[in-house]
Amino acid sequence: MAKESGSSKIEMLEISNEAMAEAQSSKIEMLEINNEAMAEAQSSKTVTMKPAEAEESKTETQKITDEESKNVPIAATEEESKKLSITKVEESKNAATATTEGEKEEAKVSLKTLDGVTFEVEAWIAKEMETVQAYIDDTSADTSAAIAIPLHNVAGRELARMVEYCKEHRRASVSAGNLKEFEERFAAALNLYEMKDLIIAANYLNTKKLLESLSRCIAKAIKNKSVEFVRDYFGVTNDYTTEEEAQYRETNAWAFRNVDEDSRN
Amino acid sequence: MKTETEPNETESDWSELTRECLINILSRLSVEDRWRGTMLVCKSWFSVFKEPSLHFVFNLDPQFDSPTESTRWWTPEFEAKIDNMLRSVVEWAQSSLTHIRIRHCSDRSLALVAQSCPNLEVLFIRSCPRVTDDSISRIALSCPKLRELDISYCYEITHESLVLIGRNCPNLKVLKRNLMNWLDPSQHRGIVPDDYLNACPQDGDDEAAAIANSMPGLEQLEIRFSKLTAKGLNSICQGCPNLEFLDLSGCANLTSRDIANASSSLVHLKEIKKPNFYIPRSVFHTERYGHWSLYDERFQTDIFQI
Repeated sequence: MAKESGSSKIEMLEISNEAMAEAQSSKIEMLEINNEAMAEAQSSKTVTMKPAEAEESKTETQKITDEESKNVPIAATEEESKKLSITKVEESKNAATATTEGEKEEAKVSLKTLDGVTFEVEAWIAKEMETVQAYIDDTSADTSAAIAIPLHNVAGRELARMVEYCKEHRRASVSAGNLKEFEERFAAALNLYEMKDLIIAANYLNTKKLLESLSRCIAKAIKNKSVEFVRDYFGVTNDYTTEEEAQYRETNAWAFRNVDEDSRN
Repeated sequence: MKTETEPNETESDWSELTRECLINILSRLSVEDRWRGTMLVCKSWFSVFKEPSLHFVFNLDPQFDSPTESTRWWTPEFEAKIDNMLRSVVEWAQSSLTHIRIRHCSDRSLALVAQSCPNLEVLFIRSCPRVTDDSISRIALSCPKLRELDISYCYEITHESLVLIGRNCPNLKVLKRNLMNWLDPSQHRGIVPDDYLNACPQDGDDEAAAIANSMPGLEQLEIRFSKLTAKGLNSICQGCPNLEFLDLSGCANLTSRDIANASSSLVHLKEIKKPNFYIPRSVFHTERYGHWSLYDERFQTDIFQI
């Protein structure tokens, strides 16, 4: 009996030693995994940094590509816009792969523009576009994943900008100051021609935030301006005859014109 | 926004802008910017400008809020322009108009408001010398949703209209019936015509009775420089038990005691503005008393009853 108990003790010791060794090796593995995750997180774009830190942490090549991207001309031809849209798709794919630790891979939605470019966007971006969301709600989930949703009134260039806006808006909406600054920057980068196309696209897709932002921007530009200025600004032709315009000005006169004009701007 | 345009950009570019987009842009502009800057751009813009959803509210108050009142505002020509504007807005709004805040209109345009704006909730028409009981009674009968009414400095409106408003507009919560400073009219002289200044309503207690008997739901009441007495104030405090705000500035016929006694029954009262000033001796010819300091306690003796 004593012998038996002694041997069983030895066996138990051996087992516990094995368990210890296993636990230690698993600890090492876990540490390695954690280190990998840390490294990934550091390299990923979605890690929040102060602007100054972010600038310092960029490599020379990154800085060069950033500079180049600032000077990329807006695509004029259909071919160029396709290329531009494809690069945007690639960028969005890259951004999607670089997810932070604990962030799940989100479902994608395919969108096909009128010029035949297919975009794959995150589901939350599709949700921002209420027209797209309505389409997804109407069709089954499987179909929307398999088939690209056709956007008959939106070109690749506009959709690329809208996707960019949604992403940047989400990033900037951490603070009200950032958001205002971002919206001003976004609008300042557009000329009237682009602004018009984008507002039509935003209206068609019912992207509320972008629509509000662009409408605000245009309203600000024509605030305190005369009819003549607004016509010039938008390149709108006056289709009133001289008599018609005079009559309208008479019947719908602004009552305060020539009243305390000196005290008004 | 970049201002340089594309080489091939023509007017057709912006004519593609959908109606909804243009409405969205115009809705962010003030009445003045819409009226002066966008209305006559082109025919298609004018048709959008007339969109009813842009005309729920017609507010010209900011234009009138200049430190010095213009004498021209009291002329028939200016009144005609305001009338034209109001009539246009009423026509475009197609019964969706809910807020009107203007001044210097007349019965001509208000009759159209009564006829076409059944959903009207707020009507501010102070300083309208040619608005009478005729149009206000029409408003009372046609606009039952009225919640706020400002008929300050409208001297052709009498207590009869107030009774009609009270009976027909059960949701009325705010009434402003202020008069001009008749104790010291110098601030209005040279701007407001003298004959109008002298036409200040004398029937303070009749108006008070009309308010008390027909507006039990009233929460805010302004009757600055009204000539009501303690009797009128008592009837208001009993007839309008829900009053939260009461402005009695310049009501020279009331003593502090009158106000304290009457307002003690108002359990919801949050703020009361009392006639907080000394009345100039010249008004009462009290020089013979010699020492004004004897009468330092404001409005406590019958000598102050005008």
